[in-house]
Amino acid sequence: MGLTPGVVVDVVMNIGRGPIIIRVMGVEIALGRGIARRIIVEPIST
Amino acid sequence: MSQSARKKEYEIAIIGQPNVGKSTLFNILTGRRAHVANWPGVTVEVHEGETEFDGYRIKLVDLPGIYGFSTLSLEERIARNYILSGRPDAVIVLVDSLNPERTMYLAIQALEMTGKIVIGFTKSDAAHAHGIHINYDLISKRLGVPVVPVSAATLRGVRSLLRAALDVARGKAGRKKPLRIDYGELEPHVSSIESILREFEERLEYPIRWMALRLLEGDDDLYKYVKGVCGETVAEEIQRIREEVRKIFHRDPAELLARKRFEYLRKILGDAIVRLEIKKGRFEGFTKLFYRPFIGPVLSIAILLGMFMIAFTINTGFPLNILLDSLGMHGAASAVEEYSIGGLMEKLFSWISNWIINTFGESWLTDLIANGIISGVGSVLIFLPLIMIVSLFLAILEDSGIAPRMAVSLHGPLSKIGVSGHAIFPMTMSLGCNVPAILATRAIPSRSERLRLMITLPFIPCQARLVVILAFASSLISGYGALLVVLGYVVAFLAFALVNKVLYMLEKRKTGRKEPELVLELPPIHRPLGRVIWWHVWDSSKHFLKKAGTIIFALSIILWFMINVSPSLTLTDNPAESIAAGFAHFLSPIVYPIGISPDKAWIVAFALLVGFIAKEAVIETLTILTGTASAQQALFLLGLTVPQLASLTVFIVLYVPCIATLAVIYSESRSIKHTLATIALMLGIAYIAMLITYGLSLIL
Repeated sequence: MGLTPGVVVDVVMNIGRGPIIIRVMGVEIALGRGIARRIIVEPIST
Repeated sequence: MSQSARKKEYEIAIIGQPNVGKSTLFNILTGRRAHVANWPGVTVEVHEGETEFDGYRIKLVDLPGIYGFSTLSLEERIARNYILSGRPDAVIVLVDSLNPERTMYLAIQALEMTGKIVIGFTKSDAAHAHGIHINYDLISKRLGVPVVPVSAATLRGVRSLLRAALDVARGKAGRKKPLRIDYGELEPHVSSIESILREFEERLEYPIRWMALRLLEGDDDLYKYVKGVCGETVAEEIQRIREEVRKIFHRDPAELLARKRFEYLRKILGDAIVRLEIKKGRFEGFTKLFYRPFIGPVLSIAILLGMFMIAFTINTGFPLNILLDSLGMHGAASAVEEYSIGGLMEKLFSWISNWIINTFGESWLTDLIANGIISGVGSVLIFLPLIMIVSLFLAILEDSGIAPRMAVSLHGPLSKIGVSGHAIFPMTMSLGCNVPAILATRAIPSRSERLRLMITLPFIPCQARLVVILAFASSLISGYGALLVVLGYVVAFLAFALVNKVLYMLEKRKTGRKEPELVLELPPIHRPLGRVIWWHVWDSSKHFLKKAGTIIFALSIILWFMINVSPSLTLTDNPAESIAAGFAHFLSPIVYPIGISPDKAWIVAFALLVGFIAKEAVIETLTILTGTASAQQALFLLGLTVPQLASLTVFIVLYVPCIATLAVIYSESRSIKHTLATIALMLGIAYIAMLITYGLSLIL
């Protein structure tokens, strides 16, 4: 779904324990916590 | 390819990532009504269609939506093998104009396989609305293949796309050779694999360069193939190069290659795409509401409830009729009921039945046609408007992009019973009819979750069961009646939730799997397209008619014989003497525990037996067997007490899916075991629930 190494990911919504909503290359994707946990990210300045 | 220049028929394949608008375009090109959904990857099977263009016959092959050719899922394998087979004369790769950087990846991978490619940029009109401007000519020049903007909404570019594909098929356009990307520092390793393979060139069926890249990426299928053709030592040598790359760059070669492709893509698209400031969508604030913890689920449920109130009212008059009735407007209430679609259709069918009997005289044949087939098939057709209305609403939600957001908002609450947010749509559909609901589970990615839902969805009362509940409720004084309706739904949803939870826990213990997962693309919110919505509505109606209609038709004939033929195989007018009555007497002890006397129990058992075929027929059977004109009279004659009515209602809501639903469960799960398990589970739970209800209502 475009989640490739090195891609820049925006977090649209991350509330409570619900799915986390991210934006990758212009598309919003909802990810369950289990999958989101397995994606390794590092923060970059905006 | 010289002989194909004169060929009059071509095969053209369409591939694209999920949600780029592939199914929609395929429908436009072929006029075929295939399903179009916002769910990623809904097209599991391969669709084929035909069209004529410029005097050529074109066979179009719609391949499953895939993100790339790297993970080798079933869909990717189907698409890859097909493209490499050399069968397609041209391949149309669809790219989403709103996300070219991401969705073009597939096109690049396809171009590495074959030069016979046309790239179509879908949603090109929406791209403008989003401030995205694409220089198609520039991209075309850089890649050496035609690039055509299309729009499913306005049909712009559809003919140009076909013409370009024909040009490629006839060898007038496209690349002579597959695309060659410069993989930079990886090149020496790629070429050493290439030179190894080159020695076996005559015996290998696929392009050497492509094979070398795929082997470096670690394609197991291809590796086995090469091992078979070139021998063990060659295969080991390739494996060694792969390991070497991994050691030198400290990364999985697959990752390195993917990164290079994206770099290449950025170079191709970089200055070919101009983005103006993207207007913050008008709906941004609205869509974000769905992601909020409490507001999201409430909003979603409110939308679904509102939708069902409207659909129910149009179809049966309920609940508007009860509302009007309680306000003292009895005339208006019965008018709403009479002129609901269900009411009107019922009138139509009884008119046809009467007409047949009046015109052709009374005989066993006219009785079979009028009272067997027409009333049987009619009882199914009555649900068609409801299904169309519900699927219309669902299609609007889906196409506009609201539906996936509702799935997100309800994922939290639903995962408590072991299903993901995806499940909300089959669940909603179930309230109308279980048959399309079971079909709707196709959109659920997890197979085990889907099987669990297939077993449990029939617990949710469909319209047919609502009709029975309402008839039972009508025999009670109004306060109790409303309570009975509530009881029916509460018990049903409790059973649905509990059984799901238990099945999920069992599965969790066995496989150790964790929480249900959600991965869902959220397409931009847009105004729904009328054409797409109509396809949706037509598709689910067609499925329903085909799957339910044929079975109901056959069963209405069987049922008619069971009711009208005695065990000694002679025709009889008295249902009490029929074969079915014999069965019913055998089954009647079922209802003894709730205190129904044996002389009346067989009538109830008979009704339940008929309800197995179509739930709403329960009422009709009760009236026929008691020789009364309405459900109220029938239930009065049976002398059922309030606890008996309540427990019987609970039993009817839960006891077994109708035969059409069972047929769909079987055809979707392909498992007799699952189908039988569903029956056993439902019967068991219905029985327990009936006894509990009876006990509790006696105490109260």
